[in-house]
Amino acid sequence: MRIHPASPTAGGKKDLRRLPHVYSKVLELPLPADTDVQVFEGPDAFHFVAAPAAGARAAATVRVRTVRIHPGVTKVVVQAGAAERAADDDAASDSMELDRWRSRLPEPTCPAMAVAGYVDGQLVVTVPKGPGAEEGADAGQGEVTWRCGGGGKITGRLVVVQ
Amino acid sequence: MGNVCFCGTTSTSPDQPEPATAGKAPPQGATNRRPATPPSSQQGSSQEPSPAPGANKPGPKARPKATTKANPYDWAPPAAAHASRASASVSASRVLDGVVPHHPRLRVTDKYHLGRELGRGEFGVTRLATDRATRERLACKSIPKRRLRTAVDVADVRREVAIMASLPDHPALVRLRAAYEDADAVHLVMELCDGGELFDRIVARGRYTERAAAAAARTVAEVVRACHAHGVMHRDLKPENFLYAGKSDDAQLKAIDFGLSVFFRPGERFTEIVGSPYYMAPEVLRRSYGPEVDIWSAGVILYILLCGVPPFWAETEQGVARAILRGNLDLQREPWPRISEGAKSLVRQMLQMDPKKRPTAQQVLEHPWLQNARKAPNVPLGDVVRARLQQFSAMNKFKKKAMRVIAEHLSVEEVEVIRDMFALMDTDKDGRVTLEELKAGLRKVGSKLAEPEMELLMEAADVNGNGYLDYGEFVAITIHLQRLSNDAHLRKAFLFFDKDSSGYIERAELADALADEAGHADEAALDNVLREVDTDKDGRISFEEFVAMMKAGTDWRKASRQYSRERFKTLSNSLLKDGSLRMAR
Repeated sequence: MRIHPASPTAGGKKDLRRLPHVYSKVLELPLPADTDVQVFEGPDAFHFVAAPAAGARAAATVRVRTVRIHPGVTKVVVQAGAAERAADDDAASDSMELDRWRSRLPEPTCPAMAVAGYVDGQLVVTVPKGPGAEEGADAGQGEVTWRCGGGGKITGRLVVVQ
Repeated sequence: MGNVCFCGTTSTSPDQPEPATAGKAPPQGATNRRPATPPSSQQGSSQEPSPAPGANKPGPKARPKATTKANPYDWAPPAAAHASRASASVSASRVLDGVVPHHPRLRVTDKYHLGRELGRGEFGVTRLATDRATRERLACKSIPKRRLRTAVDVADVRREVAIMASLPDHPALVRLRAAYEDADAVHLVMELCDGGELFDRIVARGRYTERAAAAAARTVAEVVRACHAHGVMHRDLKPENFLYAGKSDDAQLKAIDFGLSVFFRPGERFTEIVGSPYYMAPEVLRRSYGPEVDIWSAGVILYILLCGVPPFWAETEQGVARAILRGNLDLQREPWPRISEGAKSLVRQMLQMDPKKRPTAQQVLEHPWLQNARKAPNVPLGDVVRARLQQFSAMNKFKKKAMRVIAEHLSVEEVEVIRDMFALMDTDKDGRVTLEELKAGLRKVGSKLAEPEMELLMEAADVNGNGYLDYGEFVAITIHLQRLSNDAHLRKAFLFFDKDSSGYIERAELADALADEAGHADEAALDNVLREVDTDKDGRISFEEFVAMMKAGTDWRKASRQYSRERFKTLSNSLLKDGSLRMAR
């Protein structure tokens, strides 16, 4: 997998850059923007399936990080590698790198409950649905909770959307 | 608009055991478990998906995040061939049905020849399209269906096409000429705008004079007025979404990309968070907004035109959102004290935090500063802009160096024309052209270039900064202006810099190319070039990136508000008429 150098503007120079769109719910994968990712919609969840690029060695582990950009704006970032590199990962994912695979998530999803892993060499990210799912008001302190149903069993009929 | 409906093969996964209860770690080796492949359906026909599960589900439950991770292996992807086959049949001729008259049985290539790539966006690639019958040049944006990942994406494309088809014929709006759909993609044939993005010109200039900023702002406001008059909210106004119809500096500016636009009725409120950082209005983040959000975005664009950087800025998306909501508009920092009160007044009005107090697009157009656009001052370049111009020049050192390399491969005929032009300018025959000689030479042929523009030309072309144009520098700028570059020349120039023949120009090779007489290359200049040119961020320059740099619009002409290709053509024609030169192309 290609390693992206840190943004040269990390030093704080204020300039005009191209940036990715903002949506209320976004999924971001550690893959180039034009990677071919398949999306399958089930009754309980969306499944995103990415085959590794030809010749690329798939990472052994991935982790899912939820970024609260603003109340009502959530980004789920799937990152390669172990959690121990959290500090570096945080910096990398917050650099607003343009060339990343991103998808706007439909409104009835619970991005905070997304899970990711490898199945038969393919990266699979599952984002559960919830009926009328909406984030509750942030209490301001303590643990944030999500009002979100249907996050249990992820099975059911498969509908292909591509 | 009709609802989007997808049909396709369905399959049922076998029931799996419930995931482990809260707090209990999965057993060792769980990550190696391979679930049984779900049985695939043998049905040949499509059927409706099951209805939304909402009515049958228990009510929402509060769950702590830490205990709700389902086992990711409860679900496995179907075999690739199966999925591909299913998706091919599902997606054929579905997206545009009922949205806009299109040609379901005609291919876009039946009528248009698709040529070179003009641009690449979030959802597709735009290519030059030439009408096979009339030879008219257009642009074709192709959106691959594999990019339409969810029903939301499909609805966005349908809405975008419906909006483009409904907008009036207007000089500031790109026109949709035709729409096509095949099994793989949706193709939108539009007017060609090959003058580059407003974004690129802003970056190249650093900032605009008030007169030039007023002209661009007038176009942006006119776009907002036309959209709102037709019940369309754009929701994604930004410099990247405006293209120049041609390469001249006074070319028509047009809005493109209505991918996030939406139809609205007066008084209707929207809650969906969509937009772009820097340009998003605060009420979008508060999830209650109307068409006034476009005035805010236009105000951000105007702020950027006048001073070169965004008003609400941070290193992270969270920081940008906070800055927007804080709404602290800085009109104190350089260069704002030197900008007219009229311009600042309009910026303040458009960036009102309270959308009810923001002007309408019509009121923006009636603002005195825009009304008197032709009288707006042409503020001389300040220190900040000069620094940015130097950055621009540093970035272009590599490009100019490449043009000199190209010069070494020109044909004898091509060289002769340029040599004669140089000789015309070099009146004291010392092998270099001073600014005075350049001015005198241009005056001799009746050029209308003003002195500041000649100085900008000299500054941009004088790569080594010694105050003269030597023959090589003169050739470089002339080559660029005449667009003599072709791919064979570009390939030779690329190989000149790629000394180890790796297929890439590495940082060290770039440093060699940009080194001064002492052999030193400025690290900041290297960083700037790589940031601009190395679009895939792999730390080196590929041939494709090199070609894109050479053909990109970020050249010195953008630094001159009046100089244009037409002016240069006038110069060339004058030289031809006095019989001393024969132009080769």
